[in-house]
Amino acid sequence: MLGKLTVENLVVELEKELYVADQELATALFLAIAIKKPLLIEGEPGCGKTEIAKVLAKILNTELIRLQCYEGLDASDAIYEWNYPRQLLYIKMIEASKSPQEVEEEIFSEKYLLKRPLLKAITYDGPRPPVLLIDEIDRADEEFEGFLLEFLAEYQVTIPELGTIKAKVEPITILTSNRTREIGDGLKRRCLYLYISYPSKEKELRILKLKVKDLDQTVSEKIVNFVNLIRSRNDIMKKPGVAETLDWARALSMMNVKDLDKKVVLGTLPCILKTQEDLMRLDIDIMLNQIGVGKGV
Amino acid sequence: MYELVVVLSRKLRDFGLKVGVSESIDACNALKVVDRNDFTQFKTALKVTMIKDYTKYNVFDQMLDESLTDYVERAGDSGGEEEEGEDSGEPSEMSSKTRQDSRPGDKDQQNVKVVMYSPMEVLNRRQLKPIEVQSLREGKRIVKRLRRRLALLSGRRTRPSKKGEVDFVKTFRQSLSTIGEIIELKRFTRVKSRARLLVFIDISGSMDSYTDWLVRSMYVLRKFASRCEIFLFSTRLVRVTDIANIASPAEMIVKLHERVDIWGSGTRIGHSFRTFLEDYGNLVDRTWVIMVISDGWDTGEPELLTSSMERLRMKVGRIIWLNPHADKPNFKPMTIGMLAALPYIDVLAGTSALEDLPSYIRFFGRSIKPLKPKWYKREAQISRAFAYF
Repeated sequence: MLGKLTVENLVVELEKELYVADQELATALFLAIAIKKPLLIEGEPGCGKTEIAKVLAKILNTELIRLQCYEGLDASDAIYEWNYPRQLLYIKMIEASKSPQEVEEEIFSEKYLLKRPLLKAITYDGPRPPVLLIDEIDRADEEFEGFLLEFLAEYQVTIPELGTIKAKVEPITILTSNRTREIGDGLKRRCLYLYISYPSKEKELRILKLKVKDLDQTVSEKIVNFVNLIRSRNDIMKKPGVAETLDWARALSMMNVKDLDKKVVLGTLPCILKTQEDLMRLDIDIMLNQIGVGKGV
Repeated sequence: MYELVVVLSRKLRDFGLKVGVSESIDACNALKVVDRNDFTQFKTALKVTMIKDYTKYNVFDQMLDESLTDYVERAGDSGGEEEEGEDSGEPSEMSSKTRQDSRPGDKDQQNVKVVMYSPMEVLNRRQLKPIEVQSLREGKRIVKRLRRRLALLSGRRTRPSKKGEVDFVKTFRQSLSTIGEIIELKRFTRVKSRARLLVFIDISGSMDSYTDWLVRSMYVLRKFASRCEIFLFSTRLVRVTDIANIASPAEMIVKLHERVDIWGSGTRIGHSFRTFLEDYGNLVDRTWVIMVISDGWDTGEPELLTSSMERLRMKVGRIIWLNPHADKPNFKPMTIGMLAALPYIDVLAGTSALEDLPSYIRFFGRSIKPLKPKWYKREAQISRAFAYF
């Protein structure tokens, strides 16, 4: 797959895995693979940033290694830690039979290393490079970001007891961010950068068609129109992403809804709006009228 | 082809974007591997390698179009000289397509510009006075106090420390490496979150006489608050956090002079806040404190200001408004902007609060308590704001 990869190919393959990507996203992914640079994807929540890494791993038929960032994430969670209980057990077992030096050599070997995602990614021993997903990098502290600079430039990790481990195959790295904080210039400079915003109506319809197969065409059109109407409003705090649209569509399809009306919408609205203020703020009658629903009711 | 990349990166740099040599190299590498006859691929290859901030995407579109036009014209002028092989043939063929493609986009941009344009806007650059670092001592002390005042209550997060409560989990985990023998007690303290500061500084005509003071306080705030974003606004909003980050005050002034061309224009507070919410809305959350430095003379629509203030209020922990006129003894907030914003403000203070200690104590002395990690009651805020009447 990696050899004959082209952008057009990638779009088709992504669609086979039920991911609708435009040329821009496909080109960015293609470049990330071709010129071996990490790709930083920013965008609104629920636009398929994380999903793209998962799907990419599937297409390339390789492993997805995921590092979820959070405040306070440190090196022992991200790279490696010694497996103390196991070392201890080993020492207890062979206590008298070996010299201290031999024991030391033994217990500080790779066997007793707990590999965390980053180390796992560079020691990955497969025919194809793994996909490394560093999710929501904006949640991690700035110190961690600084550490990543070195990692992403060299793809190597130094463990004092073992020495430096360099990547056998450089992983395909994808970083995502929700822009809750500005990512530092240094990290940005080392990455390719792409911003994904909400999809167009046509694209969203295609996504619905692919992912929720047994939904009525007219209903899905109305869903997309309604969601777009909400997104166009400025007073909504948490705007629904594609993930929310899909949830809603799935809910409606489970309920076997053939047409949208006020009762159904009111009952299922929490699928797309997640705060009480937003729910209170919507004037459902007017909005339903705008998308051509409920004229007869 | 490489020539185009160089021209484009120079244009982007002139516009104030950070496009370094490494970006240009990446762009060239990217162009090598994509299908250059496909305009989307060609453009995306340049975009993902050179632009690292999505708010600059429209600048990029415009610059790319300009550079392509230049490039094609130059190729036309020099005639057959450049025809070395496949490389020079492709771009011109493609770029004629490009020009057709990008026309509609171009129009869109002009529309965007029309929205941003106002008859009140006067392009105006200011020769700023240098900052005397010695004069900042008092300001430094006040910002440090303010930082402590605005700090949040300690939360559930913990941090290893020499003193504090004993961390049993860590202690036992550490003891495993010494065969179950506890050699030292690991301890932790609770993390006291520092509030982050978001400053909006009004540089419109009515604030003209305070320009030097504004620049000075911008410098002080940036240097001594733990995390701080700074925006200047009059008819537009300009982000200057990166400039305020520059260590040398002299260089900062030069950069400020280059970047900001809206000194002394009209004021559209609501519009500027709206721009902020749209472009940088995700930047702030409940741990942020907003400080607005403005006299509240607003030539824009007060409704827009009210709605933007309401949204900001819901997003951030606190809103402080510094008004230069609030130092005067019989001050009443009667300007349109002030009236519209007043219900959402936690503290309304005079600008002298950043300058001398007695005044700081007068405005901030008792009014601010550590922010509790739950919603403030709206009624309490409103009554506090109206206590000035």
